Amino acid sequence: MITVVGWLYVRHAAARIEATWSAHTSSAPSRIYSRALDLYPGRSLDGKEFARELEARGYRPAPAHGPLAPGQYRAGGDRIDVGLHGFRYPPPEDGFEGLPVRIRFRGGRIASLTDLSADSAVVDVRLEPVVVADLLDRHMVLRSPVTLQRVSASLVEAVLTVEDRRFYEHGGIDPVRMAGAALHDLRHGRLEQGGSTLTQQLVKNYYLSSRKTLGRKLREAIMAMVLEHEHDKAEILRAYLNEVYLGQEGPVSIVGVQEAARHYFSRDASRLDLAQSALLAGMIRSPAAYDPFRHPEAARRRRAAVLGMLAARGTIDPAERERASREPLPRPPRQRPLDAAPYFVDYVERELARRFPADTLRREGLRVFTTLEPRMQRAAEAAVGSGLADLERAHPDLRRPGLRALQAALVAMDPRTGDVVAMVGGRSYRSSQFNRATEARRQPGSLFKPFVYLTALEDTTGHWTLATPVPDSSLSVRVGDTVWTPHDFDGSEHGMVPLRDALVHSYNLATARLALDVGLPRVVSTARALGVQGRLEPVPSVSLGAFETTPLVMADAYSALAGGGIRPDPLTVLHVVDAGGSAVEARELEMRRVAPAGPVYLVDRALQDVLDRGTAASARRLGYGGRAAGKTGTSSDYRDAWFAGFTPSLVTVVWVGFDDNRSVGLTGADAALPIWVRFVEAVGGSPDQPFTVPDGIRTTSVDSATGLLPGPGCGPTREEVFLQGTIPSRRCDSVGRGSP
Amino acid sequence: MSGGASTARIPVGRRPGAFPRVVLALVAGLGVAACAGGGTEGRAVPPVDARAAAPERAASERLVERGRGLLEGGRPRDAASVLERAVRVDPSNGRAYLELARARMVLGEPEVARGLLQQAAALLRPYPEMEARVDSLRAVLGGG
Repeated sequence: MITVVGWLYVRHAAARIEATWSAHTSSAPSRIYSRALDLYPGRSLDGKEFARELEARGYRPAPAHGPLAPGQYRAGGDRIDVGLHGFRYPPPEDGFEGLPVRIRFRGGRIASLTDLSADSAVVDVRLEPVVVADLLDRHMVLRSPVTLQRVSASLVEAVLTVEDRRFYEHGGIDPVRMAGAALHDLRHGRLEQGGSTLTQQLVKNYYLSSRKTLGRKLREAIMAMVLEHEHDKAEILRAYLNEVYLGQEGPVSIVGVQEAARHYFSRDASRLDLAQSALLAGMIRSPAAYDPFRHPEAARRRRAAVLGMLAARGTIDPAERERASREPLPRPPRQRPLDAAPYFVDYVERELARRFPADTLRREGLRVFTTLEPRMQRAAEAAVGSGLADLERAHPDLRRPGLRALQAALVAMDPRTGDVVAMVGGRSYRSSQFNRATEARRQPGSLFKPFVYLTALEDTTGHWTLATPVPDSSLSVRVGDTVWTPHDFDGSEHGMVPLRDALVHSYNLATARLALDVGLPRVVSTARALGVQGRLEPVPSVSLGAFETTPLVMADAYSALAGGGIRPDPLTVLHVVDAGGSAVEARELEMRRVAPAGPVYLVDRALQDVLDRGTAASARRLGYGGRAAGKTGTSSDYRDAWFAGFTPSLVTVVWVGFDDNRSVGLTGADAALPIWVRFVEAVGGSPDQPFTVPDGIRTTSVDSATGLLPGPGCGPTREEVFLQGTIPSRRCDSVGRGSP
Repeated sequence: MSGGASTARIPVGRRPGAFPRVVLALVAGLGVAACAGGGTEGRAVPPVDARAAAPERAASERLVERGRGLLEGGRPRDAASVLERAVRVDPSNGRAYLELARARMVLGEPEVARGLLQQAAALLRPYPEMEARVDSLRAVLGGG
């Protein structure tokens, strides 16, 4: 009878182990990466900035002398030597094994790259991406399973020495050790010492509670023996090394030797040296007490004790023990990468959730490569934070006790690829996780106007050019039962103004009239082609941005303006690679022409004037001296303040407002533009990059007032750009001034 | 200049000391010409590749060559991956889009290829010698 019950229990235990073994041994959170940093001679990058990039990836300063290990760097003079980590990029370039390189800098650029292992010049090296986030399950466990081949021999030796010297001799339980532990417990009158083998520890972690009862110990012993029967020693050792708890980073548990090696030493477990192996093996007993960052002295003593055990077993000689004892302890990284880009991570996770079940995302160790540029993201977060603080200092009424805080959002995209390179969804993720960059639907106001002008300039009759005078005069339009009567910002009418100036100064009356003349359905159709989604009705007020949209959508639409009418699909996720290194998803670069290049170029030229002499001219006073185009936006009652600014290589949209929709009392130029200036100044912004001039663009002088060709009797002239065939044939003197 | 004939009115009859009509007409014509600049034809703006000499172009070109090699070697998916990297290293490099369009075409993705080709054509305007390659791919893809 006892035999039958025992047999049944063993069968039950074996079934339980097998049902979850694979899930246990391979479970790992998915990891989200930024873009890698391409390094090549001539690249704009200085030493200080590069050191920041290294620190964001957990690289640590190396000791002044001695060899350079992976994950270390040494700065001196005009150069930085760095031990680049090996990294598994998405296929086909997945096999980078790491490299010690010397990078020399001159004049804010990389002057040369040298492979220090071969003492030869290299022209193309990548610094691996930053870990932006790990998608943890409710257990908040950070783990990166590795094979035994990717764990250093010194660590395996140290772990076995400290935790289970007879591992290769016992069958799951070690009676000798158990007897010793039982004697100890009897002497002290309580259950203190486990005498557990690695196999028992593994069983306890995987399948049992941590309570110290006799029944639990018995189950642990039986299951350990079953485990040894079902799996070989190598499998059990690998599982143990990937499962062992080795510390805490805030609420997140560091589990497994690979993650611990990265956390404490910024290197892979395969690269751990003797001193590091001894410390890590010693920490298993009590990771908190021996944490080298928090308790360096205790960690040093524990490491010395482990080195002593290794020496006593004859694994290392006295000289090795002495050398390893003198090694410095690791220092904590200066930056904690886990805090980076929380709104972006949320957005990416939502994107991934459309394709992968939540359980897959949090347990199957996917590696997700994204478009995020850490340098841009840092600049974006700093610009939003300091920009809002400055606004509140200058306008104390923006900060009222008991009311919600002023918020901002920023989205930056590369208009040539659609890559979202930075995203800030609010002033503090800690206090509000609502992503205003992608979720807040707000009125864009005048940010919409360029789509009206683009529609007019696209008109194939050539009726409208940038020089065409348009009336900025009052109008009322009946819409259903109501009458819509727009006004200009300054409350006045400006008479006949060139179409260019109507956009540059953001005149509402001229824009509304133009939209009605061109046809509201056509305006809506243009906006939709540029990517403006959602409810967009062909009503007169749409011309002034009276509908709701998000900063991300506006950045998408403006990328078509920055890209000469070619609109790429916005991208955040580039590749998803499974734990085995196979690509499971690749998002391709896709783009299409959504507007003819010529009219887009004309709009871009006018929008450049916005910064030079229009509604965003204060950008120059704020210190922005580069070449860029942009548009301010302010919604009804000053509820939303916007600025969209772009160069051919970067589109940035900034929104400022309150979540409860109350008035900010400031225009886009007052509230959003300063944040944009801070951001683009911090990232360099390619200020001298001209917009590509498409086919069929002509320039000529026109009379400033009438937009006609100048004649002897006309006033000041200016250069204007036209589409071929649309230059006016009449001269101002043939029709008289002021009567175009 | 075309369309530049003067229409200035010269008074009938000549007062003593006044300039001859033909001189006035000439001055007026010159004045209009000076004001009018390019006239109704205007001046064309030549296309320029402002990033041609930028260091990222050389880095991107190395990747383009690697991508071309993979494509010629019958590995279009790998080629596309390398060429996408070439685009991201220098998104102003028209050749990178062109080769990527070729890879996408080989992979049976003509719509994607067409969009990339549009970008390639826009960026390669300063290089007339590339026109034939763009046109031949466009012909294969049909449209775009």
